Amino acid sequence: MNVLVIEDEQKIADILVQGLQASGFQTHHEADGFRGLNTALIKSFDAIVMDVAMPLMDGFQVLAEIRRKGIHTPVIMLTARTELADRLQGFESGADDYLAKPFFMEELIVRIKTLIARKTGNVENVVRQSGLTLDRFKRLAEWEQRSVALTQREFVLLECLMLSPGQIFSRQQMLKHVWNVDFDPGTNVVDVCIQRLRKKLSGSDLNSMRPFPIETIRGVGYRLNNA
Amino acid sequence: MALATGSTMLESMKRSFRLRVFLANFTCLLLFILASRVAVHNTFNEPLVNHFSETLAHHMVREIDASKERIDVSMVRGNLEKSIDGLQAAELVVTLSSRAESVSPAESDLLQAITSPALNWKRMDNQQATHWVEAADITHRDTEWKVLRAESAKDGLIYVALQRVVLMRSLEAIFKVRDALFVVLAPFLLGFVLLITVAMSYAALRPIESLQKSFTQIEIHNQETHISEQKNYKEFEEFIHYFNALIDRLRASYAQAARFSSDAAHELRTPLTIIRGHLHKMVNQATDGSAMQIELSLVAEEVERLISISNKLLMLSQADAGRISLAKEEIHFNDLVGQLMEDLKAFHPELSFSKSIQPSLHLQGDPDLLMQLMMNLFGNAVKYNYPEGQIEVKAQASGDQLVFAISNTTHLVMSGLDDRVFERFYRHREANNQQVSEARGTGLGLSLCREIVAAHGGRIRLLTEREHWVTFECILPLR
Repeated sequence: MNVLVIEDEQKIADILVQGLQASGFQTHHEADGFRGLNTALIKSFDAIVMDVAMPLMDGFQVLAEIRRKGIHTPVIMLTARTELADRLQGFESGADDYLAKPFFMEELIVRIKTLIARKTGNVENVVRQSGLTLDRFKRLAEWEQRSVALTQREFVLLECLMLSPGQIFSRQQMLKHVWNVDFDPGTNVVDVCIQRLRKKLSGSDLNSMRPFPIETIRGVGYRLNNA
Repeated sequence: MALATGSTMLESMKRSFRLRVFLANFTCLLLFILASRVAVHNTFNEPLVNHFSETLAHHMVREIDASKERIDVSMVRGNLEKSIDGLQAAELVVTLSSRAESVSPAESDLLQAITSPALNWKRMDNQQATHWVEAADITHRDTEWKVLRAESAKDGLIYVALQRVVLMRSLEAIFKVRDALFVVLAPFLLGFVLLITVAMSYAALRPIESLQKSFTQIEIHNQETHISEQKNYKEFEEFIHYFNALIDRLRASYAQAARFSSDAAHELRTPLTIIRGHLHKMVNQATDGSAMQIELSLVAEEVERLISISNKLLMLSQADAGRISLAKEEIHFNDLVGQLMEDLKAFHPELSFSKSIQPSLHLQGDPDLLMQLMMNLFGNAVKYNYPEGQIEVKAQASGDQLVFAISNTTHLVMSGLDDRVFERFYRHREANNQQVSEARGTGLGLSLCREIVAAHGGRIRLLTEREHWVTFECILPLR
């Protein structure tokens, strides 16, 4: 899959490009809105990731121009909620998604994948990763032929880990993503939730052949093993 | 208690403009009455003395006209005595220059003084009369006399000398009448002064009140609004000019401060994105469980804190610039608070929660901002609580407002805990230092709360009436 990155800040562009490539995307980078628009019109991409504040043409202008030319490639704008509110009225929200800076790379990748899947029409109700199966519709998880229903929180937590396999998530990051709290409540609720997931899915079957794929990284966080 | 209210009443009376004006007016009136009396008695009695002299002259002319043959001095004297009350014999001398020999020795002495050529006679203003009359003042044997003389065709000059004391006695009688009148009229006078006071204070205060009203309509964020110098009295011109200049300066520094923190937050965003991106990569690449990885994740946590601070600063700077934009929608308040409480219970099973929330509360608001508001308030309730403390949540609709209160037991020192908590980076001192390191915040949460509530047209306050409890009360309009 091919992603166009339009971002004037070279170092952020580096992170974007590296992160996307590490997740198996091909990338093309342009450093200003004008070149970005040019490239978007000439070549075909599966998705476009674009900064808002850029020299020559800003992200909203580029977006409007792309849409005017009848190109419906999914576009993710990198912006802040605050900038957005000012400008949304002026631009009939031609973007498919917004992500506030500073963003988490994992989240960006998950969102790009979702957008592309939605665009090509193969939205998977079932996510499969590292032997785990997650039914988004029924909110069921399956591991080693054991299928259990998950609570909302457990589901979001597991989905988050499964969509970014191999990435370490800190407790703080998970609190923000799953519980939507951005303060540090001084709690071990994440650990409790992970333990519950493990217990629910692997049961008392401790001598199973395969180790449960959610790994604890001591002092750091959790990761879904993507081996 | 009664003493206290008495003293506060005195205090408020001291500051009353109307009372001042009343007292000033009243004092002015009293002073005027007093001054007029003193003045008439001592210095400015000449017009009145002249008035009496004229009356006397009028009588003299009439006597001269009336006497067909020769003037009968005793008759003239008798007639004059009748027109003056309480006159004593020695106080009036009537004599003719042609018959000076017929006077008593005491009178002849006076007559000598009167007829002395050194005396300064003044012709009196009586042109309508048939005879001229001249007046003079003399002091004879320590007595002041007013002397008039007129010329009759047959008897030469006729002199009438009257002691000034007599004139003063007449004045005294007039004053007595006036004083009696004043006593009778006193209530009316007082009422009149009161009326004048009310009218004056109304007239004086009205332009100030209208000015005050225009002050309250000044918006700090609207660059255009000023107080019009033309529409107000020209005496206020300088004051208004100064006020407008002050407002402009305030706006300029406000805008500058807001722009500064907004710019700072914007500029921080790019390096923070870069740092966060690289840190995450490094954490993922480091050997699992290595000291390096743990340290990196600690750094990552601090970066998250920085990001949180810069986000809040950005939002606060927008609030300062009056540009918090609300994406309002219908919010199910019960769901919002209920979910947060469920989470908090899960986070902290050791805390005891109680809630009394009116069912199906809905309000119009920005969901993200209200979520942030609630999160900050609930976060504080946990952060500054005892390990096994309590949290109480109350919410109810009151009129067209939502009253939400969250209370928690706290280890904070209660004294000096006041609205300063809403100031930026304000930190209240803690009861013991152990908890300081645990309860770390950005120091911006509550000021953000205040801005969010204000942006919704509501208000927030801190209540500390209960010992070891703090309560934050938000009042938000439902629509």
